[in-house]
Amino acid sequence: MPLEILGPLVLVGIISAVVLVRFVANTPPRLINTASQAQAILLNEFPSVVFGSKVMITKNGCEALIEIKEPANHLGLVHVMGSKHVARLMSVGEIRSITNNDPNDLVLNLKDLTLPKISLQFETDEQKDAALKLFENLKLSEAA
Amino acid sequence: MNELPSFPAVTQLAIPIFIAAIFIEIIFVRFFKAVGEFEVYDVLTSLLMGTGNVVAGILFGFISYGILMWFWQFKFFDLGFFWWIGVIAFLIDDLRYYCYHRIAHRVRWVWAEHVNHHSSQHYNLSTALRQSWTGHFTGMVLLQVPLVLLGFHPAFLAFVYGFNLVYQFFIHTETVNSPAFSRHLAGSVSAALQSQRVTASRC
Repeated sequence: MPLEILGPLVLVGIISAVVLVRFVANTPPRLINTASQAQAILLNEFPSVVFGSKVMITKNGCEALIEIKEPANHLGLVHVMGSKHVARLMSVGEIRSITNNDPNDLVLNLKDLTLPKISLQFETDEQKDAALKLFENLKLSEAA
Repeated sequence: MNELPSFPAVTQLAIPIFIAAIFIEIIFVRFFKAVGEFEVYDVLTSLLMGTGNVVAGILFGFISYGILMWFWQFKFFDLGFFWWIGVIAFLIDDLRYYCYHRIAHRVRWVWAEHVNHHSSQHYNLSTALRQSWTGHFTGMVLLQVPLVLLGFHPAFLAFVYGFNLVYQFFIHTETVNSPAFSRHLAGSVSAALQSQRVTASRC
């Protein structure tokens, strides 16, 4: 097939498929509603993890921060990707910086090309402060 | 020696079919409540990776072809280009692909190339196009050397492999069951890809 036909065909095909999915068939995100749900998602990826007591779910149900006892010096992060979830264990070394925005908004800047930034919007200031405390504990236990 | 015929680029010719099939799958899922899930960036990534795979094939395909043509001089037989030789080549190359796929899931060197295909969180026809760009550098072309030595011309193998890829495209879906005949006839493909359906998106 000549490139003059193949090139535009591929381009139009990709754009059309993406537009079709965006406006017609995008699967609704499977939101995180409860702490046990968030922990179950993390446990699915990391079966040997031992949880702490705190689970912070964001206002929109798209992310959850999970306190971890084992492995030490880690924090669990679960976030929605379409109808699926992605879970990761974060250590201090993976976090470039944390930006404290108002209101109730934390932005994690990560040293990960695939997820350079993630915004955590909490319901209340208290929840945001509790999340910040988890990160501070992480830094302290890493330094210890 | 048999004169080399001009083979069409099967996978390129199938691109309009791929696009149409993706649209049909989307419509079935959305309007006819068929099983299937889509996510915008997931579909976009799959399609761009597929495009890159085609470009990589154009740029680096000479590596694999050159290696096989070098081995062609040592062939034991020259089976020619009869249509029934093509059918046999298709079946044997399908077995070869099964071996490659098995190795790709067991050997880290090859998994580094193949993992891209399993990087999606979803399993739909666009996922079939989520292909690696570095396949020509893994050395897996050596799995085709026995076929070349047996007398299947490298160009003929590339041609029948195109049909293999087109067949495999249609297996990457939750929306329809695999065709019943594939369980009996193309057992190696069916087994490998049924297992791929199970392991897809969680590797």
